[in-house]
Amino acid sequence: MTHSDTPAKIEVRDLHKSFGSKHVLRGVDLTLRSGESLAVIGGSGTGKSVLIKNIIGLMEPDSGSIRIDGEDVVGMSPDERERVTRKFGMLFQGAALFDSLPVWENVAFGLIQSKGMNRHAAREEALVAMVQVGLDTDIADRSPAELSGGMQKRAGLARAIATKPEILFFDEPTTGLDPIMGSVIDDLIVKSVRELDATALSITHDMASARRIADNIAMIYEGRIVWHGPVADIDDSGNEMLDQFIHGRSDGPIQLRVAS
Amino acid sequence: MRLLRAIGRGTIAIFAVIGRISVFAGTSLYHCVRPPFFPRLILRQMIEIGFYSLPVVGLTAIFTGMVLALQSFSGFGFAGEATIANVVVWGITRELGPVLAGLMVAGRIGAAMAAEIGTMRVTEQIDALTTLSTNPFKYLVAPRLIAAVAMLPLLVLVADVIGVLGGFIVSVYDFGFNPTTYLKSTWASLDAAGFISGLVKAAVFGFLIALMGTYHGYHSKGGAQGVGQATTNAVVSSSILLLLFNFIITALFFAT
Ligand SMILES: Nc1ncnc2c1ncn2[C@@H]1O[C@H](COP(=O)(O)OP(=O)(O)OP(=O)(O)O)[C@@H](O)[C@H]1O
Ligand SMILES: [Mg+2]
Repeated sequence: MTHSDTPAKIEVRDLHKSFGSKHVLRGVDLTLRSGESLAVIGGSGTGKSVLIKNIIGLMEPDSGSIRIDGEDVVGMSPDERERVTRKFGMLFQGAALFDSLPVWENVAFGLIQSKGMNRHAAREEALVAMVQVGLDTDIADRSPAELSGGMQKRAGLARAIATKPEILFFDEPTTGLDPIMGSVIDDLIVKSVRELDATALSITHDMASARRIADNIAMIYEGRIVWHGPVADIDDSGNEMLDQFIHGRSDGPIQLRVAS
Repeated sequence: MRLLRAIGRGTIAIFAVIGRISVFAGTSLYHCVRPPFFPRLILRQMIEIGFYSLPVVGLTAIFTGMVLALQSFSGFGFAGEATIANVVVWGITRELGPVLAGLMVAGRIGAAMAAEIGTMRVTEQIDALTTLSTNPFKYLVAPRLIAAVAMLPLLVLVADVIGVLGGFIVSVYDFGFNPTTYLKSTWASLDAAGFISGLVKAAVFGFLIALMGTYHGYHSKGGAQGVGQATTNAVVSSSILLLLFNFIITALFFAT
């Protein structure tokens, strides 16, 4: 599947972000076409979460531009930014469910708060979204703390898709799950993205997961994208850094600084 | 030279913190007055802050009122109803009611706010709010500020009544004063300025407690330890600010 003929949904240009003297993002360039599913892979601490937080607007970049549907969102007023944020849905690494609210209200949160739906109708829609991700509706009134990790991920996914966003973000969707539950979540992600006809940006260091959910792969290293291409090409990319990462070798161009 | 540099650095750091807190307070106030509002959340906080603080504030007040009566009786010798009633009323309504209720609530509510919001921060729940197009200042901070500013004066009102009652109990049952005369003296000692200053203090204390609780929670980082640190900072800073503002407000009301 190629998306080269469709317009850019997300366009990141020369993005820089430092924390004190730590230069985390050093000129990231990344384009996601409408309907594309891209997985950004890379080692721990390479700035994957920082990248996604900049795109979503949880962090302001030091320099560079981020365009969503052609609009530069860097330096936008909070109100305008909120309008753009309505296009987003995100599944967080730890699910990040609100523990003061029951499961259904978590799933319905975006419907009530951002779409202004009344609580009764929102509950009905939330139950539909719960079924879509394979959650029993019996747990609708339970507290998120009572759910297992896999169920929390499902509820987080239901919350992310309930508002039918155009762009979905997934931060390490399978981390902390057993391999079977991991692939169940991956399948749900693929299904949800397809049903919504959404654009998806995932970050992960789980290669099996990346292969399942993505059309394209981008590898980040030392604050830059060092390889970008279709998932089918990753095994014979000829890129030493990508090869080393895929095969998990400790020797190669990527040096782990254990004491940094 | 080195000393000067250290003092300079310390001064800059203090102003940086004051600046950050002021920006936080400004943003919060802006969201307090701008819709959408969250009446459900405000109500929930009001119950949490107002209703559930009643026992601890009530107990503090009654013992304080009793102690005030005991101390003034032993301090002034046999001073008579008028003096003791006067000391109790002035002490409770002007100072001890608002300050002790404020400190108690700072321990209860300031800590709870910092812990709850801090946990939400480190588990990315605050980030999740933003991705669901909900401003965390509107959803988390504003309801707590509004509820605290509204409920603290009510709590202090209750503390005033219970504190005076404590003094009354000791005076009547221990010293054997005539209850009617004591109540009359109490009523006569009540002055509008002192009473109102106490309620103004309470509202300001409510604001400070909620501000410190939410500020430290919002900026906590680094897992469970960070949240614990935020909780401690919230209680300590709100208690100190509370005593500072108690002095400032007293000076504004009563300095001649
Ligand atoms: N708010 C922050 N303040 C200071 N430093 C930060 C902040 N957020 C991230 N960093 C630093 O930026 C670097 C990249 O962090 P990031 O969380 O993006 O890594 P990551 O690629 O997502 O790693 P992982 O796979 O372990 O989640 C880290 O060294 C981290 O210490
Ligand atoms: Mg990360």
